[in-house]
Amino acid sequence: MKVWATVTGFLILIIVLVMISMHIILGATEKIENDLSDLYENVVKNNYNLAKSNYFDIVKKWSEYKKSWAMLIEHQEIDKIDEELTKIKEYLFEQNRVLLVSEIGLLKFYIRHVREMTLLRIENIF
Amino acid sequence: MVITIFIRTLILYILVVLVMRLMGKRQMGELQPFELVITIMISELAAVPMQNTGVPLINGIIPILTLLFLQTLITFGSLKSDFIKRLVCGSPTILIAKGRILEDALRKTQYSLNDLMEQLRIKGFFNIHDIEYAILETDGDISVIPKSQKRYVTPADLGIPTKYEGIPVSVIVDGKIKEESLKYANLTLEQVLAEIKKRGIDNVQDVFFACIDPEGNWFVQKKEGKNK
Repeated sequence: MKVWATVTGFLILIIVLVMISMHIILGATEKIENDLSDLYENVVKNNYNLAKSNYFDIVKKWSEYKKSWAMLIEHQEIDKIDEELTKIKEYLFEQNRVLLVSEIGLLKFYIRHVREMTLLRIENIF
Repeated sequence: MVITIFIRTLILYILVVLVMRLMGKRQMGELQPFELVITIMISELAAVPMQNTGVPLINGIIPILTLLFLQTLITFGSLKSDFIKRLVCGSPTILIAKGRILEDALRKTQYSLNDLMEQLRIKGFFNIHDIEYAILETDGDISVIPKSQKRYVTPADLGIPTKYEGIPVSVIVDGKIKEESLKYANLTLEQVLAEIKKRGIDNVQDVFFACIDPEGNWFVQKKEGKNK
């Protein structure tokens, strides 16, 4: 009986952890993706001052999300996002539009990939 | 990095020990196939996040807890249902019946005659003539029932009456009184103190080991280095 109570407790813990992790990751990826879309649009319009402001917003949010993400996803994914943000920063200050657009696209892809890996899908199971 | 691995190892070790304890004593002894699989998987799952700091700890913890849940479920199922027990653990197979080796059973279990003879020798039976039954158990062990003329003689065979034999109860272990043992043996603290005083020991802390058998005989050993 005691064992069953403990095991059931663990099972509830697993379910709660899964729900919390999905909530954290899905919420964060949506926000970052929206901010990246704004950044992308401002870069396309050559509006670099607004683009910089978008970029710093993303970095600020990302530094908060990173702490919780590190407990939930492979650190390799986090490193990739960090790497992309560093590249974007350099290209933004150099105002290199072509490279900026491609790096923003790549970062969006990484963020989307994290979200898709979190979702309960048949391809993720197999 | 090093301290991270150290802390992760501590956490996972505690978790795995807890999980193995929850799985029960059977997990430590002869394993059923499904228990063996779970034990191997748990050790592997714990090892990966332990050494690879790039993998979140939760990636190791959740599968371990899931396996614990599955194992508990299977164990419970096999306790309640013969069908589940047979499905998960299989059923014992008789390899020798009434002194005859059953070829079909050997073939079904993929047990060679050499394996059988080896197992019988390990069990202390060197002559196939001495065996009435040999049963291959679900954990892979072989149980042997020798012919009545070849088994060890017992007091019942000789018609000798025997006294009840219980088990000795440890009362003091390494200077500490075991309260539950006192209750079990219907002893009071005063009785224990009187018993150790008889042997010239004033404090319980000075006793290395003390136990009492069902006939009331005490064994008391003083800690080394204490004044005799």
